[in-house]
Amino acid sequence: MEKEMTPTLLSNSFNGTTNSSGSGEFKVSRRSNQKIKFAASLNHNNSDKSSNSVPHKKAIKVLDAQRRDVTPLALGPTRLEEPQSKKKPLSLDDLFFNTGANIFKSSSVADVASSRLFCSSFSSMSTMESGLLSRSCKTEDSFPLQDVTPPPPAHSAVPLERKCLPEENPDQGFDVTLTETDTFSLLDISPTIISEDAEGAEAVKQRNIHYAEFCKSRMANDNYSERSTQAFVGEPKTKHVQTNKNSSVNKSTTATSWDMYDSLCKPVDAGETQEADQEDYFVSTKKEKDKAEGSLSGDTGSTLSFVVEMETCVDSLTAESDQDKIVLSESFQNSLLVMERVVVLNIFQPMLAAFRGLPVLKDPYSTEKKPAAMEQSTEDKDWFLTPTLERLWAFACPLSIGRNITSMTWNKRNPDILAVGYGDWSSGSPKPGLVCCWSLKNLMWSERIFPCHSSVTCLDFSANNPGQLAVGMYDGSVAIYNIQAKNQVACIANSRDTSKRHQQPVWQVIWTKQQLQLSGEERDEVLVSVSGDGRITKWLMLSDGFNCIDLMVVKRIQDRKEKPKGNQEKIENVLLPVTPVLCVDFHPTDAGIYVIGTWDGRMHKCSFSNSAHFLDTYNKHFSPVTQVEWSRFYPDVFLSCSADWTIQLWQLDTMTPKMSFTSVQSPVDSIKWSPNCSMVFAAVYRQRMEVWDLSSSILLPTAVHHAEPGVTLGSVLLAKGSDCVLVGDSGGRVTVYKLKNFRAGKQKQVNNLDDIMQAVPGSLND
Amino acid sequence: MADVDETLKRIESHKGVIGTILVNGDGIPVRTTLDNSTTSQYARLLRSFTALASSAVRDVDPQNDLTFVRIRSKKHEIMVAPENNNLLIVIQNPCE
Repeated sequence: MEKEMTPTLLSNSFNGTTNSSGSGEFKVSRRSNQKIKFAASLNHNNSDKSSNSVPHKKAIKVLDAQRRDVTPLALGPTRLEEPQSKKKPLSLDDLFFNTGANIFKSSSVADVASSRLFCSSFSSMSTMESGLLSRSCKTEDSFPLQDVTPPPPAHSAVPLERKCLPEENPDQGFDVTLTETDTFSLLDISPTIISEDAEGAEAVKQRNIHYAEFCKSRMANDNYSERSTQAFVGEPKTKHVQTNKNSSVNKSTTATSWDMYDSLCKPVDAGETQEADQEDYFVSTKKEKDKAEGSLSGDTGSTLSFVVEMETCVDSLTAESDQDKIVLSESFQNSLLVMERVVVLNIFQPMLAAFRGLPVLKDPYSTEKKPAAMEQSTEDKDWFLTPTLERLWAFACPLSIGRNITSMTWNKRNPDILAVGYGDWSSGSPKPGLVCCWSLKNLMWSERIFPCHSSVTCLDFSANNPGQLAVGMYDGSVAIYNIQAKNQVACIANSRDTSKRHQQPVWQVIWTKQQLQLSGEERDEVLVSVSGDGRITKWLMLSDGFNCIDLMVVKRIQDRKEKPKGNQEKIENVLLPVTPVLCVDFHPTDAGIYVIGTWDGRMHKCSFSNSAHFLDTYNKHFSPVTQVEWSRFYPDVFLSCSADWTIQLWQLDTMTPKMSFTSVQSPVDSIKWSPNCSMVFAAVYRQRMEVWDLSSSILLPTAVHHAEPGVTLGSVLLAKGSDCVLVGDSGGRVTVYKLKNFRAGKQKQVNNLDDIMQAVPGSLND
Repeated sequence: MADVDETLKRIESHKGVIGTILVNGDGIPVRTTLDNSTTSQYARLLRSFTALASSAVRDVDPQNDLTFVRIRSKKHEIMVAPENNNLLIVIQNPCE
């Protein structure tokens, strides 16, 4: 924008310059001496959006001396008015002008000249200032000057409304013509291949041929020589680009093969709970990190295992509920069982090693003192001395202490399980009994305890169903327990309600396998019991319950020799038509044959099929026969003991015993063959227990153990596969003793008993 | 429940048992007979150890799983029974 000043004008007043809007350029020529009065201009000085609206633009007016309006028209394009300009914020300049204009407008016409002059000078200065301002501001694009609110138009305006469309009625429509421009060709590369059918094809072909020939002749031609040139290689320019750094996070996981297996096998719903538990997972890992653990949890990245953790722990808030939850779970009880066994095994490890026949190792880090060195030297000397019994441990638990032990038996399938029956009827009124199943793995607590309603007199494990234990009781009932079940449901059969049950104490129960000719399968097992009412009965689990069938009823035999005793016997005959049967044992190979021992000292050989008669009678004892047992190594040989202080060795079909053993004047309560050695058996008297080794002596027991004072020994058992003897006493303890220095080795087994028997001079006569 | 309690008490009263700790899945000892610092130390260390042992066992055969871990040291034996991410820890001195 220009600023033109003529000298004449200078003299007069300050020249109004053209303002930035270019609404007008004043050129006052020299020739005009007229006083040109400037009117204050109201216009906005700059801004692209602003417009010179006609109504409020009429500030600048040029009047000559004759009051003619000679306001020059605007030369440059004017801006369109913005109808909404009223609301736009005003700039300082506009305000300034506004006030000036207002002042100006309010004046009357009469004062116009003077006021105009005044105003013009005032406004022109302001214009110039604003012009300056505006000029300086014009370069800025973002100048916020807005249109000035148009004051009411005072003067008529030069119509400068539209930019390029003057004199048109806004209401009139106008035509818009759309035309298409010519196609611009941006890139045109002519092809180097033309079709054979094209017009210039022949010519091209000719040229090609010509060129090929030319190339061939090029080599020898003198017109052409090879030259090399070098092209300029543009200098590379380095350009730098800057980007945001890609942040990287290290993530690793260890894929173990079990992790993959778990992912395959886990059910689908584990995945659903995974999202819910993810937060817990993070929380927990954070917790663990807070504890500054170098734990594995963050490293292995096995989220599935931790999800399982979270699943088990998500809802447990307190330690107590946690504990309950853990404690009640079955796997915990399993673990507890195993843990207890392990702890006990740790304690008894040397004893168990001795039991099993393993060498007993001394702990090298043990803090005990060392009398062991002394012991060992003495032990070597003892090597050739008498066989002894070394006490290993005792099966006892608080529940069983104080009860009298009446019977013990090993499990037929698992030789580590021992069943012990407790019962006491010596005081007249029989007390409730107990059956405990001990395991060699837990010597301090019986893992199965079954209370019985009556004193237990005998026990036997089934061979076909190793979990079934038959129990005979003092009140005549026979029960079968399933020791695999927990306490409540263990008793699977009870003869209490059976009509034909025994009325007298059951003295022995035994499982025996009967021969089944029909099928080649495992032979059926039959439970046979003998009791004080003289009956030998076979028990069956029928559909309607537990029932029994009498095999035989043992009646009292009239012994001719006893007849001279006279009336006494007759009375006995009348009163006791049956004889209590105290023991029974089945032949190991021929299961149809069994031997029973009775109250009156006789032993009968009976047959399973014959229920009326005995096959044979063995008469030797004159007191109740307490135990009969067949030898497992020698068929047809059995041992019997009775209250007449003797033990007799019999052979089948020989009516007199082959050998007889006596040591003390005390009734023999029980005898047992050793399952390991054919010549060893143990016998228990009231106050002592003896182990006889027939290979070393047939007159005296090889080892004797005296019971503690106040305690009577009730039962004895020998362990299979181990040189140990178990003795049950009336204090409720089953003590295990190791047979030391017994030289009944395996070398001397075969045929030796026969030799011994034959060596005995003749058979013992009555 | 009473059985389990009884068994736990029995274990604790066996000869040579120094202490028992029951740790839940979070690694927090739930029941213990030792003092706090020892308990938390054992719980923390044995948890990672058991996880490592279990990982070793299952790596060889994924269908197998760890049932029991015994660490025999000069002074005593630490026995850990893991199940369901809980741990039952018993420390025993067997030759006392």
